[in-house]
Amino acid sequence: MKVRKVTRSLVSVALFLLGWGIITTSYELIAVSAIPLLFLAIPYHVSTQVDYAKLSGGDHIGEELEAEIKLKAIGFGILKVMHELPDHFELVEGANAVAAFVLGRADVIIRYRARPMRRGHYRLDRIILEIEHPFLAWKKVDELRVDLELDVKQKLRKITKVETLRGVARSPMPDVDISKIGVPGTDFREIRDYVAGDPMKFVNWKATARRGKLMVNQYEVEGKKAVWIFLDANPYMTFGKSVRNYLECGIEIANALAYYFISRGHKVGLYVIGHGIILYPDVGKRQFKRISEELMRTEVGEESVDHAFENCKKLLAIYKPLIILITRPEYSKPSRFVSEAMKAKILVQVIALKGAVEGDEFALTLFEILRRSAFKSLRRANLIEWDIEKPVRQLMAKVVR
Amino acid sequence: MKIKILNLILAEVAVFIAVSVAETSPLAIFIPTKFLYLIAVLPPVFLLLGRNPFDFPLFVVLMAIASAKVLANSEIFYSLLDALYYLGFRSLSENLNSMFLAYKSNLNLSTLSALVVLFCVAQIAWNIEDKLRELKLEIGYPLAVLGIVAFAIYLFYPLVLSIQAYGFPLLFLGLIGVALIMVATYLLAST
Repeated sequence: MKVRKVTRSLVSVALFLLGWGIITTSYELIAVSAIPLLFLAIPYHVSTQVDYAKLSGGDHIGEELEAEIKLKAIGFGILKVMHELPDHFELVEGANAVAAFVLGRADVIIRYRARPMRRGHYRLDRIILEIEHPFLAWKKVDELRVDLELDVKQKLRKITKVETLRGVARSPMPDVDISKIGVPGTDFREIRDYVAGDPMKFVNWKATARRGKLMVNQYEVEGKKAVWIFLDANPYMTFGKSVRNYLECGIEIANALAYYFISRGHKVGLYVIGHGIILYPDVGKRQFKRISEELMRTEVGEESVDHAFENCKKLLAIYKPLIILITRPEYSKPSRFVSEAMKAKILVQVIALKGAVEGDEFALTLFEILRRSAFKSLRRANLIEWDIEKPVRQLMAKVVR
Repeated sequence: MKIKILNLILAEVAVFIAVSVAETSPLAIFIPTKFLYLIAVLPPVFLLLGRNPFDFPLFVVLMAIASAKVLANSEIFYSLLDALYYLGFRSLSENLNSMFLAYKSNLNLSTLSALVVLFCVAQIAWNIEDKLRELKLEIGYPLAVLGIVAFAIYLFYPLVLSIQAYGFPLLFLGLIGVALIMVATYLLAST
């Protein structure tokens, strides 16, 4: 325990007088040696309660939030109050800690503006109280709880342009592709054998009579092709600054892509590699909300991309979606993932994130060679190399092979 | 700066009290007490040097001056005189004994209390100033409380000490009692 300067000073005086008094057998000196301790023995206590706590704004990264907390304090002493903020919050205006000399009653108001710099679910419910001796000799630490929570989401960067090349189809963008499964429409596709579960209204009686076994009409299903976003959340994705790293950029891209495809009527699914979190492809704003909330909660985990593929292999075979894999291929080595998917006639788009790498020239060259070799093994997939510092708006404007 | 001025004033008052006591103590026999007022120069010098005007060394000097009377009641002092007597410095021992004996049982508790209280106030004020500035708090309230507490201690502490039982101040007996209860509780809890 660190002894305060004022306490040390007064105790030293007391000991000096006591020692002197004992040496000289002086009652007076011994008696006055207690005086400095009397200053330290002044009782102090402050009881506090929250009057109100308000929080507004700060729903998205970089958006300012305004907090106001009023406490009512009764007692005697110096009260220091701090509303604890998570690491990823930047104070813009005011202070999240205040102090007041309480003598009787006092109102303490904390008012500040801050900016969340990272997405996530934050509990801002902790108020730390330090009740100091009136002469700052001692302190007691306590805490109060308030009902304040904040969900900080990625700011939705709307993708304005996704390049579709004319001629030989290089991009697998599914804007015009139709869904593999879904509600059957009215466009006839083919006649096929009956399988258990097919509705009786689709039975083609003429064909059944001709073939001597149940045959059903197959119609084109409504809706567009499904898109399944695979976001890599392995530890190597967190290299860089805590507020802007590969994972944060990946989340931003996944969020933007989910919005882009959902707003165009596609079914969009999500798989967070690292935790094995699966959100099955679906349409609509609710699905976007689900994806967005899942992305907001995403933290680092450990799982290989191959394991992720194995986990949802069956579903991928049913949906035949476009897979968008957001990763760092030089670490995740997704060549087996890509080849397995291609074998199952599933298109894969790999978004390879890149950032500034520090080191000497030789190390950088070596790293680049490794990256290129990882890219070569992915030549069957569509590959986009994306700098994490670049704005996501222009994502996919440039397709690399 | 406010605290520096306050401490300067407190130091000067303490010098005045200490020298006043010295004038009526055996010290006046040995030293012309008028010269002791030169000590009053020390606080401004400390202030100019950027130090606390009422520093610990000054307090020690003032206590030494003020507690000359204390020797008159000190058994250790008289045993030293006996030792001098035994060692052959008989006249010196006898002279000193006759000088100090005149001041025996002349307690100056309130004077010593005043000096200690003034020093404590100066120390607390000096040490809390920066901390309060860090906390963006006005120093007025703590200083007012400090003044009241200091005055109360100076006023009531000698009175409390004067209440005695079995020849000892009741306050000390109380403190010893509390300490014994705590020790007993600890011993009982630990066995």
